[in-house]
Amino acid sequence: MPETVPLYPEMAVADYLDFMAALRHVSDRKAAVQHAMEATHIQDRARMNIGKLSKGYRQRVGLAQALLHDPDVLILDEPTIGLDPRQIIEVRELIKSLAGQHTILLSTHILPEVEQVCTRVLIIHRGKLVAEDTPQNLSARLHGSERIGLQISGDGPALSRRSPLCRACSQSEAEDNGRYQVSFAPAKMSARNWRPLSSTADGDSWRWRQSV
Amino acid sequence: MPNILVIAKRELQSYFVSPIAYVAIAVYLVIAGFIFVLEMSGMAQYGEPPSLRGEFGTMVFLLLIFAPPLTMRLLAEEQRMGTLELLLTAPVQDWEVVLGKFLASLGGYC
Repeated sequence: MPETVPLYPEMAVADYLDFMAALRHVSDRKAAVQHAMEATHIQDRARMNIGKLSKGYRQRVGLAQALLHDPDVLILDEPTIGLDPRQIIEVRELIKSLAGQHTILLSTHILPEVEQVCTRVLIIHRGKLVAEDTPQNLSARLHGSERIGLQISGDGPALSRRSPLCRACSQSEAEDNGRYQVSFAPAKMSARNWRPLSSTADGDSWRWRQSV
Repeated sequence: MPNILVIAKRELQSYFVSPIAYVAIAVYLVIAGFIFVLEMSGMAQYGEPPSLRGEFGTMVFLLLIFAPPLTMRLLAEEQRMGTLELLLTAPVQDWEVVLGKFLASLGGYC
């Protein structure tokens, strides 16, 4: 199902579903339409024109249409985009309820949605697969790679070499007007280094501008 | 039901959901009827044997005017609404879509 649901606005919901079922050679069209409407909770709108439905209902009609021929794999592209919070919850519940009967491939950039709905996550960056795991494992793996950024004035590289923080300091970047952007990985810092971060910096005559 | 007929049926139904179809039919009938009366009365006036040749000529000319509005949005509208995707991904051949739409507009015209 694509992001904008392809529907004929002048048709009634049931007629549209019947048409799609006929195109897909569904043997028992009436039962298939009925079942799809029940699964997506749109029976009460069966005789309404699609053009008069709200966006949430249209989304559901699109989903019902995709369910008609009982596919093994269901590909959904951002199914909750443009819906209000209540409709988003409903659509997510619907997707969850379909899991088990169908393999659902959900493409989205809304991460909370992934956490709620998905059991397996693939992250693709510039066409390459960069991560694949369950949401829990992924977030566990991400933990520890947070960074703290500081903006200091003075000779950044020299200061960070001298400082006890330098082991944790992974990069320093010169900015204009003599300021430096230094970033730390807190996971690499020992508690001894971590606690007196500000005092260490003061002792090494770093002047803090701000943390970013 | 064969795919062609499924598509033709849907297309034909969608012609008649808007009042424009009825207006077009009415306009066509009025013009054709007017020309018919004009011709018949003219022939009667001059005592010529009645002939429908002129009337059919007019109808062919009217087809020129009425065919574009009937047919021009058949595929363009599908493209615009994104429903073309739906038709092309359904287990239907391209020529079945085209022929179905042709049949519908032919039926709409007749």
